[in-house]
Amino acid sequence: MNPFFMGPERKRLYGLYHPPVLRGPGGKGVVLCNPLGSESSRAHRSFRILSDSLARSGWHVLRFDYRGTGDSAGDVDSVTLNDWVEDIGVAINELRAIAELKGVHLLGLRLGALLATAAGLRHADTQGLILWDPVDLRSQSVLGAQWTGQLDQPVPMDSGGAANVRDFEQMLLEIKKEPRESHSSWPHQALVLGSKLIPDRFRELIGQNLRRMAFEETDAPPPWLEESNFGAGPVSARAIQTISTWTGLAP
Amino acid sequence: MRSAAALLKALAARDIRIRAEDDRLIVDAPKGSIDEALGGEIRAAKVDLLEILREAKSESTTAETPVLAVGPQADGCLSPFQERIWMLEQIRPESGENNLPGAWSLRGKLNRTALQAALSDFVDMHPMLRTRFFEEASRVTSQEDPKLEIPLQRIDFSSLPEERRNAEFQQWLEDMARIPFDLSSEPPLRLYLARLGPQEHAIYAVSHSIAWDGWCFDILLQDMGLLYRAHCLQEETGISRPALRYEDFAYWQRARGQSERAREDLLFWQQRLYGGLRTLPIPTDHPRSEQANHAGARFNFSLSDNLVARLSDLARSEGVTVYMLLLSIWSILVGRMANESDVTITTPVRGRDQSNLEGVIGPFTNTLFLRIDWKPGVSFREMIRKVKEISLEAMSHQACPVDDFLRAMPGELKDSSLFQINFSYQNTGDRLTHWGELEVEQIPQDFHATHSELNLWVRDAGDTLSGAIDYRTDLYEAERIEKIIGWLLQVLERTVSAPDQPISQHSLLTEKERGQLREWNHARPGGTLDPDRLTRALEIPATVALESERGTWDRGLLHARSLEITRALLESGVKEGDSVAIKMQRSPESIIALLGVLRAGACWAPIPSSIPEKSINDWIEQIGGRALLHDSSIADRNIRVPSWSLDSFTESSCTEAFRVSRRASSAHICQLVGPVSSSTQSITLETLEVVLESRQSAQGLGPGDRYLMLLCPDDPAFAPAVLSALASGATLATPTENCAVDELRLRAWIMHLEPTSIETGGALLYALPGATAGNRLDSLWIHGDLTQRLQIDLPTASKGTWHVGGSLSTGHWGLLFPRSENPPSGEPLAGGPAPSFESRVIDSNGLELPPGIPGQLVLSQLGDTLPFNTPWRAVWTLHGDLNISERQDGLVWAQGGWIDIPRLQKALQALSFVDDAHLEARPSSTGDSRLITWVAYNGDREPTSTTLRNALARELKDQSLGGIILPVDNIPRDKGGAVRSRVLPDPSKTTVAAFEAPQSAIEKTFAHIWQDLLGVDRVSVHDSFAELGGTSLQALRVIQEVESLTGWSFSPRLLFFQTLRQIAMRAPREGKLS
Repeated sequence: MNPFFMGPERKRLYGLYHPPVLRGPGGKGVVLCNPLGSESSRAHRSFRILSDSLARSGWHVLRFDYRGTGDSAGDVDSVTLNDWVEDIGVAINELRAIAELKGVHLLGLRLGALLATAAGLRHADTQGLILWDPVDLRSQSVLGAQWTGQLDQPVPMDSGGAANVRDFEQMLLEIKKEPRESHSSWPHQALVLGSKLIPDRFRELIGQNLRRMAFEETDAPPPWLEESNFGAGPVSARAIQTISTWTGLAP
Repeated sequence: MRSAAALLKALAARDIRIRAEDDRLIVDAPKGSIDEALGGEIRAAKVDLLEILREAKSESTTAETPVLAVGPQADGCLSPFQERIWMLEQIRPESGENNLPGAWSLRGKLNRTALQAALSDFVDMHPMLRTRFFEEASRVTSQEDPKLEIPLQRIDFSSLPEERRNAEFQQWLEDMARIPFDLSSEPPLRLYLARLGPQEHAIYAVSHSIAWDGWCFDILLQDMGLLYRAHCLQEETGISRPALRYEDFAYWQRARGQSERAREDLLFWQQRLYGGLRTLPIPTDHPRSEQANHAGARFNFSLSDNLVARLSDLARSEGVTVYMLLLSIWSILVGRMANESDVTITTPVRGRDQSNLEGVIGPFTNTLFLRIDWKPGVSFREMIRKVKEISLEAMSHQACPVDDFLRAMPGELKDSSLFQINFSYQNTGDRLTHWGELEVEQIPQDFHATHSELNLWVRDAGDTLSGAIDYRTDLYEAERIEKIIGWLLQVLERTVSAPDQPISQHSLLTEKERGQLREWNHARPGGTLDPDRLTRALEIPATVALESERGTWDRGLLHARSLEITRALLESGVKEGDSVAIKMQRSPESIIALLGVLRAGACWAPIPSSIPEKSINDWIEQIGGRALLHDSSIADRNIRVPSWSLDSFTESSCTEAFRVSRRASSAHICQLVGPVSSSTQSITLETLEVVLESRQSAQGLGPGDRYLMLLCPDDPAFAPAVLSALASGATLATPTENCAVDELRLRAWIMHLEPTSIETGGALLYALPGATAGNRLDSLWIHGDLTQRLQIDLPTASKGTWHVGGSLSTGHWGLLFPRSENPPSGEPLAGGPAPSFESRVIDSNGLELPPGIPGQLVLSQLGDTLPFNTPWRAVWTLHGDLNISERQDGLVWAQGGWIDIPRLQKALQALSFVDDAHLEARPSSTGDSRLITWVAYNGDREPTSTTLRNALARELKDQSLGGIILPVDNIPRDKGGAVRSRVLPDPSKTTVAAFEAPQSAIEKTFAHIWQDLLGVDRVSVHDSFAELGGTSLQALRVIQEVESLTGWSFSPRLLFFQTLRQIAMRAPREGKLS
């Protein structure tokens, strides 16, 4: 594992690269897109274990902190969702440079899933999307949901409200845009973990825009939250298994 | 002020090495590791330091204390070796890898009662065989248990049909050898008696190395033989119980560990082995991984009587042992395989040099690390003298247990495979061959758990020498071992025959391999000459179209226009086999001219562009040309043969049925003038056929492909290229020379055409990369001199598998990317031998290397005496593929492309914010090469990877910095400025989870010890000892240190299977820790 900084100096992002440790499917990489706020810290262990597991099956894995979060530069009050989508772009480029890859997969958890989708549509070098327990876009308190992991909680503003609703609408518009048909390297596949929670609107968005994707869903979102401080949280072996299997099959 | 000894230890911990040279103290220290205070301290202690170093160097004068029976105080005492074996057993209890099997056949009438009685006596004589091992208060100990018995287990194979008997027996031997021991409840030895026939039995001993070593088999054989004989004859045995127990030895060894003598030994080994324990890069069949698997196999061999006699003669005349001679040969071979002249080979020593230990059962064996280095040009005779010196010196320090000195040099263990290469030598000349009337003979076994990658094992029975190579099956295939044995015998034969010749002049190549290489080189696709082949090549498929910027010619048009040329040539009196000179630039007309000439059965004889117009007549005369076809590039004046400007041909009707008017049957269908040599060369019909076919298979063009041909008519490859493209049915695109003169126009053309394949001559080498940027190609074939290619960067969009190939003339070499999108990782270039070339792989002394050992690739055209030294490193696989891995001029294959490391390095070091930098392409655990850049920045803030990549891209324009960038405090360099790359952190070697700093005191204690021992920068609470590369030896040290610091003692299992935090959670509450 290799910690480093990437991106423009003033917007430096903290990244962690996990080199593949076994001869894997050959030249594949995945950028992990964090959820936000407390979800992010509570998903930390899941992501770490998932990274190791993917690296063990031969993947190049890059984790990173969005601008204004974790060890990355920036003030969380002044960043927008769009900035974070840009950050994913920086991570994509970095992973491609590190591992000399043609394209990468994006794996997003919760709001990270939405950001990954937006980034995937912008970056032609995204080969596939893995959306884990994506946030519910119908909910008025969607941002609250991503803070607490529960859909009916309001956003606690004092926790440094990172995203504002205008951004959010902007991003939805972005996702809605028709991709150019001629684009040959569009993400070809998406795996969605947790279809029961995927709101129709989100499904519609993905379905509409990523027509050419193979689209797979699993029944229920596997747990990713870490409840305990002692590292004994229910990190879902099933999710890791599903993702590993799916990515192993993906071209 | 600390003592000189303490200072030495402190220096070693900082990786500072000192040695004595006369009255001077030579200090070898990493940059910045000696501050002013330390420097002062060294100067002050100089005299004492010199004294210690000299003492260690000179042979010790202190006498070795004898091993004595010490009674109960030695009870339960284990040697460091036993502790390590116990540890290994705890880590992999199911593996059975510490079992030692040995089998002997007993021929003749067996007296079972006597055998049983002999066995009871034998077990009774050796308390070790009744010893149980167990943990007590987290410390391993042992206890003699009088109740333990070793039954003689019987099995009968005699009823099996003869053809199955041996196979079943061998399988049984193997199965029994792998059954793990439960050392806490069963004796460490199992004995079996197998019945193979009425007069044939086998006795099989499987023992555990915690209680046994190789020499114990000799004791068993000897004692059992005497006891059996005595019982048969009902006589007194006359053997007495050994006076010492192994525990006495273990006790003595521990006491010795504190002595001055032991300190000298330790110092000797540390000095001797510094920098010598790294893994030797011997080519393997499977990549080396962190997790060694000790499953092994054995490959037997024997030496001819003649060779043995000569070997013994040489040994005698040089005053060395056969052991030293064979060790020299094994070092030479290992060095050759690893391309090194500094190798470390381990060798077991009996460890029973005190006579009262001779008959004692127990693991006395110690391992010596013989570091053997030699200078180029040294003769075999000089080599064996040096090996003698090294061996004797090592032997004088053999009492120091290997576990002790390895534990004392943790830094050295980091990149080491430790017992990688081994040499064992057994002198069995005086071994018992009879037990009473039974004839006893060792049964060779072809399996073996092995702690070495390669163990050469030789048995010297006086007048015969036989042996085997034991090898790790996770690394090597039997096929390669067979080769290694072939090389060993080859080196033996050659060195013994010519001991005064430099060892570098002895080739490894065996006759068989020489033949094999010749065969691979001469293997040609296709078979006998098919007279209709050319005709078929000229039968242009319907899909063909010829495209140039002036328009498109379809098949009908090509046909019709070429027939006009054929007709004109024949009408002017050109006969089959006559030469037709060509003076044309590249254009659609030149292709039509080629078809026309060949259809007339005439020779295609292009005039080189270097021939000035005024010399054309002379040139035509010289080649015996009967006609000239030209374009407007010459002013058709005073040509002495019939000549046509191609403009004079007109389009005629295409109604005539397509067929070749006359079959080209001439032996020479085209005459070519090589650009390097001035002599005229020709392509015969036969070679053209070969070229067409090999091109077809290599290039794989077919209908639907767009093939851009940028060769000029005077290029020797022009005719084969045009013909094979036409025959394939691909669209042949060829811009006129005027069109392709500059990169911009060429690029526009390429964008328009989107070719799937490009073939070009050397002239366009420089324009091509820019022109093809962003374009995806299936194949690219460039002709020209390979030396030219060193300066260009090939289009990065094409990342196929490269073949070295070429066109058919001296000085013309090509590189081909066939259709292969993803080359297998680690094998950037692979393929069969280049058509019409002989490929040889040579070592630095110019000797041809056998398949399996990498070296420099040399190409020569078949039948040509002048070889061309390519800049590539290559290796023949054992199956005749030629893999080309890296370039010798600093370009290496990593990140899926060729990388110019020196250039990148220079540019990096020139950046204002970079203090120092170092680049390497390192093999990663996935098997392929990854580029790693270590960079020390100046200033407080570490720039981002993006900043560095961008700055370099601005500087170099055509090369980017891929791969992992690792910021470090400084690049460790030795005094001469060379990078000590072994010390640099390697991210692919650690599978560390997210970093979390140790919190509690016990976590910090562990982290501190691990950092120190494993040489890692920081340790996270989620790290595990094993994943950080900890070895069992180091584990022992951790357990000891934790115990001495906190009083807590714990099981090695905990250390190997848990993370730091998990281990710390098992510790007693902090208050209870001392």
